[in-house]
Amino acid sequence: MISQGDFDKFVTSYNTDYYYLLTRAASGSYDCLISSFRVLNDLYEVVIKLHDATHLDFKVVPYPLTFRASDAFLAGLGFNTNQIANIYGFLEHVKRTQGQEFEQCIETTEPLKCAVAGFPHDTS
Amino acid sequence: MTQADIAHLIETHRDELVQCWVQTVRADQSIQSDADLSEGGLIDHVPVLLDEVCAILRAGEQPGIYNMHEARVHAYTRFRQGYRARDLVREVALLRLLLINHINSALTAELAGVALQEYFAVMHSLNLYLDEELRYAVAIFTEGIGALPQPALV
Repeated sequence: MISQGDFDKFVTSYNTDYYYLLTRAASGSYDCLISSFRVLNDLYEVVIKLHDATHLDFKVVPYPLTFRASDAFLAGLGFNTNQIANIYGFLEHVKRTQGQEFEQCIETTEPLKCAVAGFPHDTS
Repeated sequence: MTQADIAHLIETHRDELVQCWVQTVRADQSIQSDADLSEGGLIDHVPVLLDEVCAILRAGEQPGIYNMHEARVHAYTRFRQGYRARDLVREVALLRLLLINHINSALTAELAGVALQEYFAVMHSLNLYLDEELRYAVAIFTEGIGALPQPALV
């Protein structure tokens, strides 16, 4: 059984990774970022499920995974207007390169296309 | 009329519903946490939340861990905005009533042939979705006290 202390560290680790990925999106560094978000989604689901099904508490509150239309949340994390625009730009990038919305991409088990510089990666 | 049709009823009136909800929240004297929020801050995630509700209805899914991301974002944002928990419960209750009234009015006006089973399935999903959001909110409001030193969002 996972202890509360370990769970807190696990959530802290998730939050750190999440913030790092958002920072990448904020800087416009979108390359293969969706793959990282998919992995993070798995972690997030473990966090939520553990909390839901055990005695563990959210002593450390996990950041919500999705960030569409979340200006207040993103600004609260310290991102400025341009950075927030870049983060939303990532959502458009995912739609353009994967043919699916970000939220669908992180849930699906279909292979992702590695997209570089805003366009689907040409494997030919 | 199916669950997908009822989702369409919500979707096609989404902005109007959100505006109506904002006015109702503003007019509710028991809610105080909204006073410092701009309209954008108050609306925040509600349109996306309604999109998620509609997606769940359209897919005929049950609300749960995997399809309630936006509900958690809404609860989390209110937590970070320094909302009082009871005000969040109240604003969610107002949203619930608004949606139920809208669906009832639309179905009555259109004299739509909606099967009772479909109607109850929608009500079941809608209530479960909003209750699960509140359940999550209770957890972060009560368990995470002091866990986030960042300033409140406005």
